[in-house]
Amino acid sequence: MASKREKQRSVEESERFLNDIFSGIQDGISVLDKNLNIIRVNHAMERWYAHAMPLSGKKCYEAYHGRSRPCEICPTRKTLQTGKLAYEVVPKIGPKGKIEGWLDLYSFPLIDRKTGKMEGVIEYVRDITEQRRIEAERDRLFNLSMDMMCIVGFDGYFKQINPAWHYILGWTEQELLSKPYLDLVHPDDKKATLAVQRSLTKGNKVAFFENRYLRKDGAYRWLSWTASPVQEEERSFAIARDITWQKNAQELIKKEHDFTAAVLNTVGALIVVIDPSGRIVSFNKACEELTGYKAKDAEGRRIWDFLLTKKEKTPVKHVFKDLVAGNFPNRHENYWIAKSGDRKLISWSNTAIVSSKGKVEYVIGTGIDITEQKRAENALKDSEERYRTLFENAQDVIYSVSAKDETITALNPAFEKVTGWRRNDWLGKAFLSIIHPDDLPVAIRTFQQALAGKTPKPYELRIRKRSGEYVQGEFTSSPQYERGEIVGEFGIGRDITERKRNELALIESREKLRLTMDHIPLHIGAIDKSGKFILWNKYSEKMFGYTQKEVTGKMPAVNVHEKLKDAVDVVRTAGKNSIYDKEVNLKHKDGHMIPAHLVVVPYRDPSGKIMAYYGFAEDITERKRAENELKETKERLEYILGATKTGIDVIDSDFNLRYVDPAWQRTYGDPFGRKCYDYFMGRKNICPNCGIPKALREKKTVVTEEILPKEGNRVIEVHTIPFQDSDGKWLVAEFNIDITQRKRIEEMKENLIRDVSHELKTPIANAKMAVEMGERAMASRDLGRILRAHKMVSENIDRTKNDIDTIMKAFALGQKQVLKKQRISIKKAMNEVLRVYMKEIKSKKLKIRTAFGPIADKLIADKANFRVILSNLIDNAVKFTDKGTITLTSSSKGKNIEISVSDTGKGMSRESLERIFERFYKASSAMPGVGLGIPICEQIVEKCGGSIEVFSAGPGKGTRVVVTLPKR
Amino acid sequence: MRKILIVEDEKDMQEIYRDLFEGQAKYEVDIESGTMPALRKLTAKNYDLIILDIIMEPIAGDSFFVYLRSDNKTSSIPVLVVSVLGPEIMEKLRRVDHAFYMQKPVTKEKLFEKLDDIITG
Repeated sequence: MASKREKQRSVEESERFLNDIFSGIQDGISVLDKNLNIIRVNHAMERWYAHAMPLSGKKCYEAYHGRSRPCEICPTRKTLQTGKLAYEVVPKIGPKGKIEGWLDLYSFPLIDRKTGKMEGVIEYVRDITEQRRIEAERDRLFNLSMDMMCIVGFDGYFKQINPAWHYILGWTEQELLSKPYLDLVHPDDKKATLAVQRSLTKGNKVAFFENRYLRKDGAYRWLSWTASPVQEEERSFAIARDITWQKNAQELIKKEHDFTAAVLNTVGALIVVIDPSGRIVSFNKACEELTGYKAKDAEGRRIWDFLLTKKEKTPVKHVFKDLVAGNFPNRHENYWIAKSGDRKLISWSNTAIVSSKGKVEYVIGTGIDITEQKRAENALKDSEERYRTLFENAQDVIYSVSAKDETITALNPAFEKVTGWRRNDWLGKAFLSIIHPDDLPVAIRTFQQALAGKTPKPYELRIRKRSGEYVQGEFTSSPQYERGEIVGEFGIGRDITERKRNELALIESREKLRLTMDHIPLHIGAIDKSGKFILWNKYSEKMFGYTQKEVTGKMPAVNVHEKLKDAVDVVRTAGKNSIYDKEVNLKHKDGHMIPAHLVVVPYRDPSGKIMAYYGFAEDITERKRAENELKETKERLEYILGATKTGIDVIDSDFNLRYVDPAWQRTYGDPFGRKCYDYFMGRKNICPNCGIPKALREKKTVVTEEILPKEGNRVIEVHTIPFQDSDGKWLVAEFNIDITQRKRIEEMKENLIRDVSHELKTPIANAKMAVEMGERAMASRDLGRILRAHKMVSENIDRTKNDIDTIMKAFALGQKQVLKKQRISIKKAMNEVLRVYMKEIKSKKLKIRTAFGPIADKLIADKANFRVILSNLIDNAVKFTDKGTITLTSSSKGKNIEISVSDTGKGMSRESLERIFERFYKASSAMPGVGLGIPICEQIVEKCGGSIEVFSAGPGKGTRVVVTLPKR
Repeated sequence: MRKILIVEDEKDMQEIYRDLFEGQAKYEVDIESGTMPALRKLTAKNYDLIILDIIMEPIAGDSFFVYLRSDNKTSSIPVLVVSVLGPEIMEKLRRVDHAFYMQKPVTKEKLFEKLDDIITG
């Protein structure tokens, strides 16, 4: 008896214990019978629906939703129909039928173990209001769903997808868009999916359709679909939610036990009961399945001894201590380590069972495995952050407008950049006031569309900038939802001012180009790579005489050039410098040449390859004619002025011009009423060295010099002569004599004297210093040094003497000289000169080669002069050749004799060759001689009616001088 | 010992300079016959003074002077122009601070006097 009573008490205790757990769970549990009558609820439900108490005996829709009929979408009814788990998010209805929040509602079938029949339904309810609120917040801000949203074509392809697709399934956007979505559907679900697809094309909406999609890593995800077709667009808008973790949960709770245990086990939630020492008292089925530990193995052990990660042991102990201390309920998340080593993230709702004495007897943890959900959430967070970054950094303006009062509720930083306003200037202000008055109809229409749940087609609005200007914006907007209700418009605006301007400019320029092409007096043509014209404007017909028809695609560009070479040059230059720009002669069809200003530019493809050449040519015949006329006039004028070399003008004491020589007037224009300094010199004040005041003061002629800037800095000598007119007034007459030429000669003379003096000074200075060196050497009795100094002195004196001789000759040549006509044998003359240089030739071991043509020996000329020429040439050859050969030749060339002297010596640089005929030019001052040899030869040869040429292939490559003289 | 670089392209003058500086211990002298070798020397060695001839090819001494003044490394080295050209050549040179002039011919006595002046003064 006693044992029976004990057993009875034990059963009662067990019953009480289970009841305590049932009641203590933080999530709501409600048991319904098949007719939707509430049979039993836990404390959480009583707390939530305090206004509808008592709950037991009422219909669920009545108690929970304040309705008189069952709800249309109800997971419980679904479970009753199917006998399977159903899930739905349902609104939490408050006392006055107001939506207070949102609940996750799982309904599990309640099966009688004995009969196997469904007795009713267990609703497991979790308050997700807070979660929802956060979601809504996020949606409001980002208008991006954690759900996979897409537009699906009736053709079986995705048309558009949001980033969630990538985050959840791992495929890239491209991969998803490039193949029929059926390819990704689990083979077992294809048939059902096809059926849904067909249904959509017929215009039926689809809700909660579930199928499995292949993830990139090979796993399948369960997706729950809601789709709505737009038949006229032949596509559907669809939202898919990853419900894999719910599906997994479903599998966990396939088995049930007795009433209470069933509740505890069926819910699929983890339920663990722990005593105040931390030892597990109860470990439900879900816990077993999640962890891999059997209840009998787990019970009696402390959770932190085997289920927690090292890191979380201490925090969980704290949570536990808190609960034992009476601070419950609470919530937290932590990991459990399964027997297999897998980590599972669990979201716990904890509470404690308190004894009648107020002492905590047990702690009950109710948990849900949120590993998968967390993973998805993390993936989403990424996308949220991305979106936030996008929002903050977007070039485009992102905004939202409230439906309630049409005020702007959100603006991103781009707004400030684009408009110049501060965001605070407009947040909370009516959005219509920032829009151009003319665009208000569009703004209002699109806003209303958005509020009606439609997404308006992209539209353009002008937005008022802070500066008062308007910026052209292209907008896309959509309704903004909050808790399923449209609360406003969400949109993106892009500044297209520049684009518009460019578009306009493009249209304008195209139009302009077309007009230009045909109407302006300019040849416009283009040639392709083959060199044939592909473009030939109207004016070209007139300018060149060829019609468009005979040119386009047929005529090569060469036809309008004088020579093939010219055409090649144009293309080559344009290709190399990207432009050819020159005045050239172009050929008319009839063969006459057209002076033209030709500009050719290459046209390149994006890779830089030249595809064509565009050419523009202006006929400058007229301009050339005018230019020539002007030139002629100028020349005539110069001739007149040059001939008289005088110009006369009369000026009064106030510098007013009274008379100007007509020849001057042609250059300077009408002198009437002008001051002399303005008229001649372009000055505003009297010239600094003006002779007029002095001439008038002293009544004497004053001579000054002026440079005329308007006539190429011509130098004139001004003789200012004062005189009295018939009224007794003093005036001056100026006689202006051109002394430019005289000045030039004077300058040349000065240069000559300076050059000569430098030439003479150098050897003299050297000699003087060598003498001093010799003196020092004598003091030290250094015989070698004495001799060296002596040699230097004598050499420098010789150099001086030679220089003086040459200079004297040069000056003598400047004087008039009577050339004698003497019979000369070239061979004989050459030998005579060579004899003078024999000593040096021998010391340098130079070879002398001669080649005289028999009939090229006789010459009639001035013998002395001819010798000067030969001496100079041979002198240079010997001087500048250290080894090798000197070759002398003479040959007959018609009426002329050609004499050449070639050497294998130092040769000459290009610069030296160009300057060789300059007096005193020497490639180096260290070179012997004055630098007059070749100029003297030139002078003599020219006097004799011949010519002289100097050749050298470069320094070190020898020199060849060729003198051509008439035979008589 | 003070270091002097002589830029002079005439063989005779080079020999005379060599003779002038022989047997004295005050100055160490390098003689270069052209501006290019002189530049090479200037980058390799620090000189206290440059003696410069003006009539030289291919780069005339005056151009070389301008170059010396434009290069930070050489802009403050005193330059003594020794030339047959008259003192007016100095007017053609710019930035003639630290620039001195002597007309050829120069005597040993005068040259050393000048060098002492420039280097110690």
